[in-house]
Formats: sequence, structure tokens, C-alpha cells
Amino acid sequence: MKDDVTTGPAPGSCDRARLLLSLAADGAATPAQDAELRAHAERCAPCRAAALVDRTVAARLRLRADGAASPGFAARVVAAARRAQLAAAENRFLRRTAAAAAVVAAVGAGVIAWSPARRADDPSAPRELARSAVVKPLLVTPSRGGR
Amino acid sequence: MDEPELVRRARDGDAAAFGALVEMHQDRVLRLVRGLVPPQDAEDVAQDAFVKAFRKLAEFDGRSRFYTWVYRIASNTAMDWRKRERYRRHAPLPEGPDGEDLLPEDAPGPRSRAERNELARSIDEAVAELSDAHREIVLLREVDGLSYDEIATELGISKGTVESRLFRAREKLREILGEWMDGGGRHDA
Repeated sequence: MKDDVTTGPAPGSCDRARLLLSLAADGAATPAQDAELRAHAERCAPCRAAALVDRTVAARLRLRADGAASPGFAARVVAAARRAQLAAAENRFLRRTAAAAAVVAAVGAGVIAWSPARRADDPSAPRELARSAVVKPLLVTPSRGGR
Repeated sequence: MDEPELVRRARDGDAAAFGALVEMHQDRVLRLVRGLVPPQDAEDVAQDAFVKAFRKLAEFDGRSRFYTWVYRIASNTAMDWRKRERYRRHAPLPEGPDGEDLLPEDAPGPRSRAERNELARSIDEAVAELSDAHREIVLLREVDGLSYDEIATELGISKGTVESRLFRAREKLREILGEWMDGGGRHDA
């Protein structure tokens, strides 16, 4: 962007000063750019205020960020990661078990549904079972005198 | 053991290798998180971020640096935390213990403690409002103190892009914090 600064906004304009402000905040402005910025800021209240905002934001962020992790932080993170790993493994196991149980249940249901019908056709099947397996038609008698 | 080897081992479930990675990056991740959530919640949020990183390690392809990858997870975790807390509290987040001066003594700006603390909260909100890319670059510069070259390497972008992205991020902050500026307009020389 230094190219932008030299070929971009017109010298003396606020747009140019704001570009220079950003460079100056990072210590990346040349001495000539610093001098140009100072000259502009002396006669421009809004750009002085913009510089103030830049400095205040930087100060606030640095203050908040100050300080190292408390002792044992990494150990606590590792313990939490292990718990998460175990919980995930447990969830996977439960999901697989549930899926396997669903398959077993489906197969079992199929066997049960299929067996009585087969027995009903099988003359050698016990009579009670054969009777219970026969699906009786449901007769619906229209009611008389209903509303 | 170097970082790629630690990452490889951690990906295979080696908790000690993961612990070494955490120790390597915990202070930087905490600096980032402290810039986005109140100090009393920062370690919990940073811990959540590291645990997420551990669970997602299989997705880390090694094209970016490990820290950059963790940094993004931490940033997203902190932003999610902010959204959740704001929704839960129906109010702005308390940014520090009562009575604490939230700006350094020598910081410019208003002099009364109440005003300074209000400005500090406005700054936190303004930083949170930035786009992910703008927030990331501001924090890498202001909090981590990285040079343009270091940021360029970290993010895999050109130095020119670093400069222009930082400029636009600062413009956005000035725009959001305009009410704190004397005047706030521009003049043509």
C-alpha cells in the first residue's frame, strides 16, 4: 500500500492522512510521510481525533490481552480433550449399538411376521397357533337409524 | 520434537503431544480470546477452542500454520460465546470487574472513569463487529505485535494486502467509534 499512499489520495487530503495514520501506527511510515502527517494533523481536528481513536483502541486491546495462562492451564485442556474424546467414543459406540439393535429388531420383526403366516399354511403346525395367525376379515355393518 | 511431528502425534490421539502444542500456543490464544470475551471467561473459552481443535485435528491439512488454524478456531469460539451470552443476558457483556479502569492510565481519551469504561466497552463491541478478516488482522497487529511481514507469513497473504486490510479495519473502527471522536468529519486541505 505504500504505492497506494504515494500514488493514491491527493497530498494534504484527509484520505491520504488516514492512510498515513495507519502506516504510522505500525511504525511503517517513512520520515517524510511522518512529517507530512504531522503537518496535516496540526490543522485537521478530525484526523487528530482519528489518530486518538487508533491509539485508544490499541491501548485497550493490549491491556485486555495482558497476562499469561494460569498455572496448569495446558493440563486442564488436555484433561478436557480426553474427556471429549471418551465422550465421542462412547457416543459412537452407543450409535453403533443402537443401529445394530435396530437391525436385530427389524430382522426379528420380519421373522415373527413371516413365521405365523407360514405356520397357518402348514397343516403340521399346532392348531391354536395356526388359528391365531389367520387374519380375519373385519366386517363393518352399516348402522341403521343413525344420524 | 518439532511442531509438525507434534501435530501428527496429536492427530493419532497422543494427548501428551497435544499438551505440548497447547503449551506452545496457549499465551497467544489467550491474548486473542481476552480481546473478545471478559477476562473471567477467557480461559474457559480458550479451553473450549483447544478441545475443538483437538477433535478436528484430522481436518488440519497442514497447508496453513498450526497456530493460524487454532487462532481461527479460537476466534470463532469466542465470537460464538459472545453471541450466546448476549442472547442469554439480553444485555451488553460486562467486560471487567466493577470499578476496574478498563483503559490504561496513560491512554488518551476521556478522563472520567465512567466515560473511560464506557469507551472501553464501545471499543470491545467495535472490535467484535469487525469482519473475521479485519478482526484477525487487527488482533495479530495490536495484540500479538506482529510485523507486516510476520502477519503476511502467518496468513499467507502479501504484505500489501496486510497494509490495506489493516487500513480498512482501522477505518471501520473509526467509523464505529465516531461518536468518541471530536468532530469525526474530514476536511479538504
